[in-house]
Amino acid sequence: MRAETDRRTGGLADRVLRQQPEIPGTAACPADQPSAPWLRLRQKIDACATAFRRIAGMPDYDAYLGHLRRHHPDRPIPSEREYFALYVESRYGNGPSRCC
Amino acid sequence: MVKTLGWIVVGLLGAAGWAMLALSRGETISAAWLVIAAVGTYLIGYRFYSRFLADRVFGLTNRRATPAERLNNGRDFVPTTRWVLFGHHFAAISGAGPLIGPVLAAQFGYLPGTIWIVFGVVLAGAVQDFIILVASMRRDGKSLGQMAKEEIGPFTGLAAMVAILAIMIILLAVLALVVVNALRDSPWGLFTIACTIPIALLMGFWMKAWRPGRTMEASLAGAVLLAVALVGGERVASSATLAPLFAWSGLAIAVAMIAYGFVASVLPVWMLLCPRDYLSTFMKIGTIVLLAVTILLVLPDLKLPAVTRFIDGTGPVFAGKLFPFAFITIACGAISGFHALVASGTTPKMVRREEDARLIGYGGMLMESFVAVMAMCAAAVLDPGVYFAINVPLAKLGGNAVAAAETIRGWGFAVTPEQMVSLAHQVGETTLLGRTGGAPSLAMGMATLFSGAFGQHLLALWYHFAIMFEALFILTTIDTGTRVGRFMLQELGGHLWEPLGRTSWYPSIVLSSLLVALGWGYFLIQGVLDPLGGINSLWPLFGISNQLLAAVALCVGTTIVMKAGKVRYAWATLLPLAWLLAVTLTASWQKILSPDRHIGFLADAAALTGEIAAGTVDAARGSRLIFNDQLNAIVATIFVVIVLAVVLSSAREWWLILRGRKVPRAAEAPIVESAYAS
Repeated sequence: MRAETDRRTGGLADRVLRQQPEIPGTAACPADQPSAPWLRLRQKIDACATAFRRIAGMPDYDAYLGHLRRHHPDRPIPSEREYFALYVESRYGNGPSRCC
Repeated sequence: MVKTLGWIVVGLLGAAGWAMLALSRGETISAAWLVIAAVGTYLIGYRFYSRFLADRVFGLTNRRATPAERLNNGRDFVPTTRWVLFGHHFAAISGAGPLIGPVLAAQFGYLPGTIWIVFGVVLAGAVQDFIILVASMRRDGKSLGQMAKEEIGPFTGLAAMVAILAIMIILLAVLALVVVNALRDSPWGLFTIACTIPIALLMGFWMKAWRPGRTMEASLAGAVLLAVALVGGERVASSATLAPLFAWSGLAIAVAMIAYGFVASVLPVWMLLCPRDYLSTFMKIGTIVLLAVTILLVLPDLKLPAVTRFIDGTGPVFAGKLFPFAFITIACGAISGFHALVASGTTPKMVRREEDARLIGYGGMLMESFVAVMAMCAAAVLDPGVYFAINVPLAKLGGNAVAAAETIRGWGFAVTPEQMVSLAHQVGETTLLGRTGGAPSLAMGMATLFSGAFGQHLLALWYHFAIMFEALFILTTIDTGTRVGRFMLQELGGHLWEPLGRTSWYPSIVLSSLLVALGWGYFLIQGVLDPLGGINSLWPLFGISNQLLAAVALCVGTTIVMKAGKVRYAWATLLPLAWLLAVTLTASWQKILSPDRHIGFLADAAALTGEIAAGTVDAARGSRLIFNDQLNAIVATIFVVIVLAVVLSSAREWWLILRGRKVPRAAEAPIVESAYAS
């Protein structure tokens, strides 16, 4: 499953995992800052995308992988498709919360 | 020292804004003063009152771990930075409500509505959102209904649930009516909105099957397609063969919406609801930011008078005096009971540190209030004559453009038939007269602002952009609301017969969805067929129900404050509660029993009986209208009874605590030291 994900994302998932900040939406700590400017830009864009995802209540696969790796290294890693189904169920399963 | 000086300056600026608003009589003034007065008041309220609530009343401390930290599961319980969560929470609480209420209440002039929006939010609305968020956060994200049950009693819990369901039905009906009034006989609008359904389906398949999980990608594609649909609408409207296909009557659109609501609530969430949710969230945030930037850029003059003569209760947009109806009409934006559902939904499970709740709960609601202020600005930049021509039902205007101009001149505002025809032509519509419901006049105001900032020739495009923006998230509310209603009905049904409560049993899903869709559908059809356009009777009913839900939330809040041993601070929720009860009970009383047939449901029924006897109204039609009046009166009565029951059962609880007969003990989750402290 891992290998499949890595093939599909060109190892991006792994790269993100290494740099994944504890809190989605915050920048990684300075020690992790890559030196290449394009990598830093890439990281900024990723952080923005993460923030937007969370604002809209979208699933965030990479953050979930980070969570699993940190807190439940023994659990099997779901594919992105499985994670999406799981997320949508937990977010809307009891009825969505939206206002007028 | 510098800080103190800064706050004094902010306070003085806010006061200057209010002074300008209050003292300029007869001359037009710039919207800048409105914005300064509002923002100055928000800043003072946030800095001092919310800090007082956080420190003294709730005792928030970052040393106590939040459920997001303790129960982190990477899905719904996720610690989230405060500005991101602020965005998330704001996107969840804001919707059509704060945009439409102020536009309708603008018939009293811009001042009364603005005062209520700004001071209401600082002292009541934001307090309610904040306390419910904190209460839910300290109870691992429990819902309002659960908290009512656990803190006050099982009866109150059940009453709160029935109230929420009833309110949902009225809310969906009135919002659907707003869309129907904006889209009827409007090929451009209907085409664009109809396109959002296939676009959402495409996005759904994109992120479920085609490229699983790629929600961002799918949303961007959706947004591009939406823009294409918007521009394409113009082609449809100007085509002789296509335009008639999309020029639907109000009734046809209403039936289609009921069918849509039912189907959407039965389909799997990923297919329609989830993509729509993402699309409307991005649209909402984008448009609100754009509107704020535009107002600050253009700083338009407010053409509407500060106060109009209609505060005496003779208003043509809706009947009733300033008190209580201005405070009923503007619900979201000043205080909205619905937010209590959101603040006890996903947000409390994502707060990272306790003290962040101040920005998210209190600050998020201030932001919502600012949206309402902007809506008021958008209504006030229109010529008053144009505002009334759009917002007053055609039957009251006299039936045609010439008579309408005459009627409006009688009210003291100038508008010519040619002006209305030319305006309608400029925005690509056949007519704008009597397009009640607030959305078209808001769209007109927004289009005026946007085209003032970005080029006059795009008026039509901006108008339909604004219509699409409103209709898009109202339709999202329709499918989420029908689904929420279905869940609640299933839970209530489960008490009667166990299988009805199974949320995955198909017959139960279909049956309860159908009941909910037909429930709001009935009120929607009633509104569409109403000779006065329906907004006159349904919007006050919605306002009353929303404010009464806020009263329930404040009862829960007061109980929680008292149980936490902070009886001396209970006034913080008791004062807004007392005000809300005064407003809503007066309004309900008048809506049910006022002898004026324009206000009182029963008086209207009696007058209709007379008209049928005299032969001026067709008997079949008349008896249907009478039935609707009686039904509305019953609904209002049910609201009042439920809320009085909740208030009385809470008051009993408070009495027991005050008399010392009950040991105050809050049912909070255990205290755990947080790793995020400092």
